[in-house]
Amino acid sequence: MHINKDNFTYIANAVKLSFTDKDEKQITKELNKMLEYIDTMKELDTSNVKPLTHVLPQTNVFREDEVICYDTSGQLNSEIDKIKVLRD
Amino acid sequence: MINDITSMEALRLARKIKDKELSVIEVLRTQLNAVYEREPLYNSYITIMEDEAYRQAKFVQQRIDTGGLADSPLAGVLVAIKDNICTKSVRTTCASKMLEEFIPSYDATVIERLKEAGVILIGKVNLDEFAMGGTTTSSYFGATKNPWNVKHVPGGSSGGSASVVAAEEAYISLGSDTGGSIRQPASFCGVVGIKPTYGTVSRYGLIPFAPSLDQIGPIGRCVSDCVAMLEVISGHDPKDSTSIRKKNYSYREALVDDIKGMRIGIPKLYLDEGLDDDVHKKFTEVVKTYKGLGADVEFFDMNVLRYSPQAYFVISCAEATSSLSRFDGLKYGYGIEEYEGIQELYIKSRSEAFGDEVKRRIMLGAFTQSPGKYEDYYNKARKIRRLIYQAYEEAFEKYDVLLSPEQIKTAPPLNYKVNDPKEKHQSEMLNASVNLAGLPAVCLPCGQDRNGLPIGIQLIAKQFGEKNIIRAAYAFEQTRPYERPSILT
Repeated sequence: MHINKDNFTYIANAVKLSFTDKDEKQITKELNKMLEYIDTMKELDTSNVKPLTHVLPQTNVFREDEVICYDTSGQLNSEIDKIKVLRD
Repeated sequence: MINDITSMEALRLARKIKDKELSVIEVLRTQLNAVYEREPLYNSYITIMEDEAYRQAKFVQQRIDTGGLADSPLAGVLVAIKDNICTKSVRTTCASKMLEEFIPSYDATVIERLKEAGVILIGKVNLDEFAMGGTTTSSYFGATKNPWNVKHVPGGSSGGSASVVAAEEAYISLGSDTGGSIRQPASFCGVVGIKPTYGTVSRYGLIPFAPSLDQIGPIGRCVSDCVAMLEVISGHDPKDSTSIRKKNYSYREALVDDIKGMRIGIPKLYLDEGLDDDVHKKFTEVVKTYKGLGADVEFFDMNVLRYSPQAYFVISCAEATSSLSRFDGLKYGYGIEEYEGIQELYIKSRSEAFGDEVKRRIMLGAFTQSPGKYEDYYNKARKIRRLIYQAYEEAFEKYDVLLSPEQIKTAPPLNYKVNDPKEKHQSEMLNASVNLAGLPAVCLPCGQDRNGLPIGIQLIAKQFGEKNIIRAAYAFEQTRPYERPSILT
């Protein structure tokens, strides 16, 4: 058993989710089934293998620190009107 | 009349528009009529962009009339966009209650490119919530139906993208593929889908699921249409740090009906993993066809792929946990109105707005990275990822492309639930390893099963080997006519 009542509460709290008792039982069951399956990857010998995070080389994207004046208030106000329409 | 116009291939339509045989407005009007007629049946669109599309159509017609889009082969073509790609001033929901009212203030880079190319956005299409799933049934906006049989799923997560193309409610669409989300629905709906090499298409403005795996790609009714769209959306983007600088993003020269001497490898385990009889039969025919076209086809062992779904689940869920942490009830998206303290705001907003599948994956991702579990799960998965990457590198020393069935069976019924992780395993094994290694792949139709549901094949190439899969797909496509869902004929 990977997930039990204790670590379920710990994880749920970490990711800011709450569940009803019924959902907690159901999700615990499903996740444990899933983890049991995932555990089959342990059969594969990965000693001396370096973890791979990205398949391509990564470089950070930096931009010049320039002041740009965005006059989007008109647009943003019209978006608020659209949201009101969605709500109606 | 509707069928005459809406069933056309995108490139042919664009040619007719340029030749003044059809106007953009006329095409749009006809297409929208078809959409409104068919949508009650399929539920593929979350948002139909009627007003915006008419505005774009008028503008594009002007540009065409003044010779401004002479070099744009898709000018005037109507395209549907998966609703996890940001569109300025048009809501982008990710099929979630969380983003039901989210209206982006900017366009994704792919959208900017489409607009520049004179392509018209007709609407935003359905998906599994936050692109997590393979059925398009977990959408907050209801399930999408398969145009070949409305009692079946269209696949997912880009189910709306595949369904609108098959149902002739758009000429081409954009989807996103994290572990098969373009290819699997393309297979279930009998259309063509391309998942490009990681880094080929900018992800700027794609709401992330698992950023090291996600890639945007086209779905169309033929290989040429997808290639034309791929050329529009590919290219370096300084706004995406994972975008690759390449000199050439032209793929059309690979549309050649000649694969003599092409070396095609088939990983043996793909045929051992519970293939449905009809899929097996069709796949055997495909192999014969390729041999008949002069390709050297060979079966070989690539057993490490057996572990790709496990590694995929761990990595994708871990990344999803992080990607979705931005939805906190404050910055954007759903937030509860009344709360006591910040913790309650976070917890209640997220718990009320995320669906069950999204919550499950967030929990799994958090567990595999929790104290004491990180090495056993997350790091183990990343090590397997390297082994998979290396296995593909070795395979592509011997083969130009790899061939597999796209799915082990055809589209399941709408109410079908996959409870056994092993069943998910078989399906994911065919797809997820491609994303883990960042490779390009194409799915294209090869026939139907006994119930008339489409069957697809998948071709995979080495990184930036798009031309190989395009050539192999195009040559195969020439051997059989495109088949439409019977409901449209």
